[in-house]
Amino acid sequence: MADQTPPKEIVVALKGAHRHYTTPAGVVRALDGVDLEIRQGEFAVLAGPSGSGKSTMLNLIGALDQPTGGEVYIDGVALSSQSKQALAALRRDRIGFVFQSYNLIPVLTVLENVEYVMLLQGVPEATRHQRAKAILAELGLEGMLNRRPVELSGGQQQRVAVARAVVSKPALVLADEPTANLDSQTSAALMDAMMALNQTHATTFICSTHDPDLMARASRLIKLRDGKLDDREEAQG
Amino acid sequence: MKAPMTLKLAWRNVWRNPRRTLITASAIGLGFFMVFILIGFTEGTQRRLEATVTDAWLASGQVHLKGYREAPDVDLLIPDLAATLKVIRATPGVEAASPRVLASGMISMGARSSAVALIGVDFSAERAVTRWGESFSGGDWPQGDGGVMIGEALAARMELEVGGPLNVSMADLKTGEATSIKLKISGLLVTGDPLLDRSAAILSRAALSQGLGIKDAAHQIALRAAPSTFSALKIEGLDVADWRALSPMLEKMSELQAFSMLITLGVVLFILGLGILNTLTMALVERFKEFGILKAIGTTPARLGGLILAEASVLSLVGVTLGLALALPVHWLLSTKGLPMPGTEYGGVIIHRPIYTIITPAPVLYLALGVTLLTLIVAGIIAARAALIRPVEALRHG
Repeated sequence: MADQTPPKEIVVALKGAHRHYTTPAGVVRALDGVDLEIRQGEFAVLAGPSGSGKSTMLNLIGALDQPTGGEVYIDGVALSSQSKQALAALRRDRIGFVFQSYNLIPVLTVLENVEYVMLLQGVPEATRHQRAKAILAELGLEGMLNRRPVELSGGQQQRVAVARAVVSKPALVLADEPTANLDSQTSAALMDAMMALNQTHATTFICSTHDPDLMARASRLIKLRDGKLDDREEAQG
Repeated sequence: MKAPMTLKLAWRNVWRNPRRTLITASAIGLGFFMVFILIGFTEGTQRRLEATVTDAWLASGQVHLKGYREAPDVDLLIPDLAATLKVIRATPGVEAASPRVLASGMISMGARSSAVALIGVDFSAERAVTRWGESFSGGDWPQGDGGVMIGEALAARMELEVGGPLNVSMADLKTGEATSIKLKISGLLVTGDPLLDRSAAILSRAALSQGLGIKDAAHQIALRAAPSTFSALKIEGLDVADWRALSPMLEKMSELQAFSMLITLGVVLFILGLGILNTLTMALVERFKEFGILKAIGTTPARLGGLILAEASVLSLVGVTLGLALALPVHWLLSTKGLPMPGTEYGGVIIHRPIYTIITPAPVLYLALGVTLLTLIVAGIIAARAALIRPVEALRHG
C-alpha cells in the first residue's frame, strides 16, 4: 500500500474527508468527500453559501471535530491517530484560532488574553510579556494592554483575537468569518494586519468568509458547495 | 498553567456575579459559623457536664468493696481502711481521697420528716475531692461533727433553714435498734446532682459511724485523680471505677452528643455542598461556550479541572473567612462570659453554672477536612462535566 502521508511543506491535507450528521430528517452531508492540500505560507479563503461546509471544514482542520470518514493531516500527522491530550497539545502549539464573535476571555485583560496560550505552553514570563506586547503593538493596540475585552470595540477585540492566535507562532491560523461583525473600515484594517502577519511571519492562514474584499486579497480561493469542493471555481490569487 | 494565573482567573471568575457569590459565600459562612459554635458549645457542655458530675457526688471516681456497686449493703465495708487509704493516696495521679460511710435513714424536724441517704464524710478530706464548697446557696461547711448539710430543694420541701436543728435517725448495724442524733444545719447545697439536692444529708463520718455502731470504716472512697490513674489503680478485693464507669448513662449521653454533632456537621456540609454545586453549575451553564473556547485553544481537561477546583476553593475560602469573622467574636464572647444555665437538666444532671464554648483542635480539623473534601467533590463533579464539553458544540452555543 502506498504511503499517503503528505509531504512536509503541506501544512494541511484532507483525504476524502466526510462529516455527516444524522438528524431526524435524515443524513446531512456537511462535508462530503473533500480532498485538499494547503501549503505553508498560503493565505487561503474558504468561500461558499451558508451551509456549504466552510465552518465544518475549519472545525475538522482545527481538530475541534472528527471526520466521519476519510482523514485530516496537520504537518503530515493523521489526526485520527492522536489522543485527546495530543490533539489539545496540537491546538495549543500548532494552530491559532480567530472566531467570528472574538471569543476573548472576559475576565482577562488584553495582555493576559494574548499571553494565555503562551502560559499553557510554559513560555517564561518575560518572554511572554515581550512577545505579547510586540504583537499588540504591531496590531495597533499598544495603549490597551490593561483593558478588559468589554472595554474594546468589535474591531479592537478581533485584533486582540488575531494577536492571541498568532503570538505563539503557530504553523496555521484558522479564522472563521473574521470580518463578519466589523464595519468595512475596520475589516480592511484587520485584513491588512492578517496579510502583514502572513507575509512577515510566513504563517499559513485559512479563513472562511462571505466578504468579497477578503476573497479578493486571498492567495488562494477555495469554493465550497453542498459540502464539496467546487473545483471549477477554485482560483489562485 | 501556572498556579498564580489559575488563581487570578479563578478569583475574577468568582466575582463575575458578585451578588450570587456573596449569597453563596454567606450561606457557607453561616453554615461554618453554626458548626463552629456548635463544636464549641458541645465541647463546653461536655466539660461542664463532667465538671458538674465530678465536682459532686461521683467525684473523679470511687473505690468500693467488690460487689457493693451491684448490690449496695451497709455490711460491705472496705477492710483495713487506713492502709487502703495510704496506698491510694500514694498512687501517682491521685490528688485526694475521701472515705465515705453510706446508709439509709430519716431526717425530721417537728412533724416534718423525710427518708434520705445519709453520707458520712471527713469534711477536710471531702473539700479536697468535691466542689461542694462552691455549691452552697446558704451557709457553709460544718464546723466539727455537730453539723449537717442538706440540699436546698430538700430544705425547701421541709421548710428548713441554715442554723436550724435537724434530727437524723438510723439503725444500729449490729443491734438493729434505732438511734438518733441531733445536728445543726450548717449549709444548703445546690450541686446539680438530684441525689444530693433532694434526698441526702451529709454529716461527719464519725457521727454517722457512731450512730451505725461501726468504727473507722467506710463503704466508699471518693477520689480526685487524673483519668489515667483508674486503670493503673488495682487493689486486691476492691473495685476501682472512674465516673464514666459509675454513670454509664452519662457516658452514653456524651457519645450520643458527639454523634449528633457529627450528624449536624454532615447535614450542614451537605447543604453547603449543594450551595457551591449550584453556583458552579450555574457558572458552567453560563460559561459553556467559554469553556469550549479554552479547550479549543489548547487547555486540557486537567487544566480546566484545576481552574474549576481553584474557583470552588476561592468560593469556600471566602465563605469560611466570612464564617470565621462571625464565629470568632461570638466564640470569644461565649468562652469568656458563658451561656447562663439556670438549672437545665441534662442526662439526669442539673447544670447550674454557665457553659463556656471551648474549641479544641480535633473538631476544627474535622471541619476543615470536611470543607476541603466537599470542595474537592463539588469541583470534581463540575470538572467531570466540563471535561465532556466538546469545543465544536460549545462554539455553536450562544
